[in-house]
Amino acid sequence: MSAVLTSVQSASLGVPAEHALILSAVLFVIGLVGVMARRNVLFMLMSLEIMMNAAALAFVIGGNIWGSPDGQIMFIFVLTLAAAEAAIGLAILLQFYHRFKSLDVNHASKLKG
Amino acid sequence: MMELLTRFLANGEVVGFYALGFVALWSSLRVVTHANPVHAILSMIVSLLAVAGIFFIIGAPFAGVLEMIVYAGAILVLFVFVIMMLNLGTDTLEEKSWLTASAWATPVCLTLIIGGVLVGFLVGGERAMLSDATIDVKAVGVSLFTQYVLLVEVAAFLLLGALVAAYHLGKRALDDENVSHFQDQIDEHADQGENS
Repeated sequence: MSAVLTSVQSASLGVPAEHALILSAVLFVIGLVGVMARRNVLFMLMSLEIMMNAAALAFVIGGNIWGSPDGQIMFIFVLTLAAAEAAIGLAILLQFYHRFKSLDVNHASKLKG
Repeated sequence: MMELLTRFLANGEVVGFYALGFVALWSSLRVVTHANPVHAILSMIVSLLAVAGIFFIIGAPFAGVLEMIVYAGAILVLFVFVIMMLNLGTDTLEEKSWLTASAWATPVCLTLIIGGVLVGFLVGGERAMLSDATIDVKAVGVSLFTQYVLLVEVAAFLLLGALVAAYHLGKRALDDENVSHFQDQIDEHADQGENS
């Protein structure tokens, strides 16, 4: 069984690891463009999710390269963080819309207290 | 050219990887550039499912399943619920007037510089290949509950904190409405009391 496993582990997928990491980096930059360029709070939250997803993809790729489960474990923690962030962010978004009747983040400069 | 194509198509996983990567990039771009939130959320679900497929291809089935269930299934349903609660859809089309070309230009150029630097770090150096090995659920679970068990506890605290914070933040929005309606009722009763 272990011999089979090691022979499987030595096989290559045929994709260079840097291509997968470049995919992750470009996804991250797309999310960063969203956070910086958009002024809608909802779209900024979604772009943050894209960025977290790209970082989690990089973790899983690393786990694949080194053949250890640590990458997927970090993926689980990133997923936990994303869920917590989405819950709090959407609650703040509801407050924001309730108060300003708009999703323009520039109104947030007028927040008091 | 044909030889290259046949060699490329002979390996289905490689084709699947690049195709899913392209789908993920394209749908993420659509998320960032759309004005309609419902269309953007659908593109985002497509993007997450493409990334889940990539996880399956590179031998992380547990991560792929979690991506589908938790990300595409739970977190994005939360977004959809919020869009439905706010009754968005046509309202946020006003963002088209906020988004002028000059508002896009500077941040996009800056982030493209960051992207160029990131890609430049990755290109070159010694070339590692992705391996074909599958890291199964058992290995992940054993490592999660022996080596990383403390972090599991911390994640539980984080989720509890997020639950309490989201409840607290969301409750005040509802309370404002309740208080105002309640106040109206009290005022009405007071008026009736004075009239009688």
